[in-house]
Amino acid sequence: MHNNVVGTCEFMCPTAEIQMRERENLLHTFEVLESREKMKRPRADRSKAVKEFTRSAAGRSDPRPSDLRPTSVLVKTVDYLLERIVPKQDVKWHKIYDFVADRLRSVRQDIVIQRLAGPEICLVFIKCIRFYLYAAYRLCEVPVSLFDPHLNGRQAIECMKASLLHFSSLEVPLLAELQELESLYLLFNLGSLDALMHVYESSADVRSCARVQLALAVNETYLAGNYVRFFRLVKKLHFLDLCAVHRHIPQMHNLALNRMSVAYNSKIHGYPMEHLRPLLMLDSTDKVAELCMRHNLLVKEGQIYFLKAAWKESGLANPVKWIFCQEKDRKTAQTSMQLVQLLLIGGSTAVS
Amino acid sequence: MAHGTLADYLSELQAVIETKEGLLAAELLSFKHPHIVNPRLKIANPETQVERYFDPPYDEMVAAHIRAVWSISNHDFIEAYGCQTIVVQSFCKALQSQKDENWSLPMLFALCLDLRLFANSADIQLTKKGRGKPGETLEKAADILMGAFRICASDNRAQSADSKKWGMLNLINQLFKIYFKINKLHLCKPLIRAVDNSNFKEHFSLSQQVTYKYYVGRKAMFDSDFKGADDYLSYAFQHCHIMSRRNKRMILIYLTPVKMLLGYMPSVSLLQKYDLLQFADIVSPVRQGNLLQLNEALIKHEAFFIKCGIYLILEKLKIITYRNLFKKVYLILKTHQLSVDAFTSALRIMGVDDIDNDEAQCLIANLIYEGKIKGYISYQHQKLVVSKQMPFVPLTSLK
Repeated sequence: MHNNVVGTCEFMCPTAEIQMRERENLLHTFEVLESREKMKRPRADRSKAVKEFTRSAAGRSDPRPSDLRPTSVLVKTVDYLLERIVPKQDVKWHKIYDFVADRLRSVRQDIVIQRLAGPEICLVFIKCIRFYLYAAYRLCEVPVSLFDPHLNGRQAIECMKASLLHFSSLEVPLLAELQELESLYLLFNLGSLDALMHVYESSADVRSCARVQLALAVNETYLAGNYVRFFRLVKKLHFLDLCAVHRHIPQMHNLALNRMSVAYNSKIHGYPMEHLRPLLMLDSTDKVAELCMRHNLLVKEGQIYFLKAAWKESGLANPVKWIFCQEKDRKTAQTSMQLVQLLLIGGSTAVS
Repeated sequence: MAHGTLADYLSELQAVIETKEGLLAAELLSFKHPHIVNPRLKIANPETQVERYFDPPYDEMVAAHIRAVWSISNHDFIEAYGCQTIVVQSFCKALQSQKDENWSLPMLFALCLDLRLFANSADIQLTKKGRGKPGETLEKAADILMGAFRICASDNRAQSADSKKWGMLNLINQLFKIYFKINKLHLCKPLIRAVDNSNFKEHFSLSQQVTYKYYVGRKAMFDSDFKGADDYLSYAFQHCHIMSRRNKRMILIYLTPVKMLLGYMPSVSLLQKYDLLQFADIVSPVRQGNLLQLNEALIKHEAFFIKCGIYLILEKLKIITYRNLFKKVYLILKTHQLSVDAFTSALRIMGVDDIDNDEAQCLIANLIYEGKIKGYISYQHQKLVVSKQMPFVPLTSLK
């Protein structure tokens, strides 16, 4: 029989760690007492210090209960991070990301060590997921040295997989959150057979809601190479769902141009850039031209000359904050309050 | 054997092992055999008794077997699985020491089968208790089976009746069953390679070959190698024993969508014979190019198709349905310069309400890209210009 350790730490950060980090001058700027900020060795603000993530080393003894936070404290911690740190305006957001992502990882670690479960834990998970997906969009144009989308993606997927297990073992289902989770999972893993099978094997009241149906439809167009319908549907997605699918958009651009280079193959006749632009949701005809030239397609006088023989399979461009994404961002997460609401409560299951 | 004493059982087992009667020994160690329900064999600690009859490693093996019998009588599959791993591992020690002989292969098959079955039940029990990840025990069982497989595969007495290589296919089939269950199909690849490289390939028993080709065919489907899947599954279907209706039906569940993707529609009588009329609802809309009806049929039988894992393959039929619809348009208009409007209208008539010319072109573009239509689209004239020779490539000739 497994004896689960039960955490007793009442604060967001265990006392022992605060003392150690104060001593070693390892406090984060977000965690220090304001009045003492200019001192050589700052003191911790108890209401701001959050337990760090540390790898559990092999051979190290089991963590003490005083170092582990129970469910109620973990909930408070996550809410604190999302309400107080995420919307900060005075720091570059990738630095906010680093802090929050690390502290969330520690929260998840506490959950695993104590084998916590239940509806509050499910909600903690989904808040983490919303954060990772929002971050993936918000920091998509930041250099990789400052934000690594792959690492963020791995955290997101790990969290999603754990959530799916937790949600499935709830006595009383959290239907709206589960629908949201399934939809985000499918869209973030667009084209993945596993994710798709998972959705199909979920219960009917999850699968049949509008949000999941839309996610399924987007996935289907992706698999079928139906670039016209893909973008038409993506436009309708809830902002968080858009954040989830965002990283796959360049692949669809690539696919569209590839198909077209075969189907519209002609040495003489062109295809008007301005017609293609809205179909692929690109910001301007310049951007269309850029994309075409990336694949060695000739662009002249507002026309694209699709030539099968010219097509070059260059690597995918990075996703950016296309205008249609920015518009959705403005509508949903413009103000700090809106952003916090988005992360704490998520989107409605209604389709916009 | 459901009534003898422990001593009776042990002496009988000892005798058949001594005389190298593999099949009989296998029976006495199999959970299909009546000795399993003998209350006198339900002993938690049989070691001292067992050691009187068997030397290592058989002593460990038999003791663990008896402990497994006891665990099963308590419905403890988790414990039974643990015991069975010892049974298999100790047996493997014996197997390895048997040079140039393979009489004990039937024992190996029986022990591995029970190992897999217990692992399956153990996983279910563990999940119910909220412990362990789903499929964890099966994965561990697969590792043990791989160990046994390696002993067989590395037997260098090739081309001989005494070779342990004859055990390969049975174990591979067991491993396939696990890999399919835990959804790790990529692990099948090295096993398939091992069989392809062996010259025993064609000489294994027919039933083993049928099982083998069934799984390899399903893997090929998964890898979108439909021609390969057709070859394997057709072989399995044709050579499956006529009395194994259930098995034939199972093969047909996978063979049918593969054939359909290659352009061959099943007859209603075949589907009726094997109680697979769900497919009949799919065949006619695909032929007619009726997308709406196809979608309805997929939804209607969703549960069945998802359970069999073929829902996604059937989705691929959509592109064939478009192709069939567009071919009709071509046959009606009787020209090589087809206006895109015609396709858009055809799609609307078939119930796709929100389609427009751009999307119709996109669907056509995909068909051209996949080599299903020979031609090109002229944006200028909003026309699909098709080749004068067989613009709609016959499905049966495509890869």
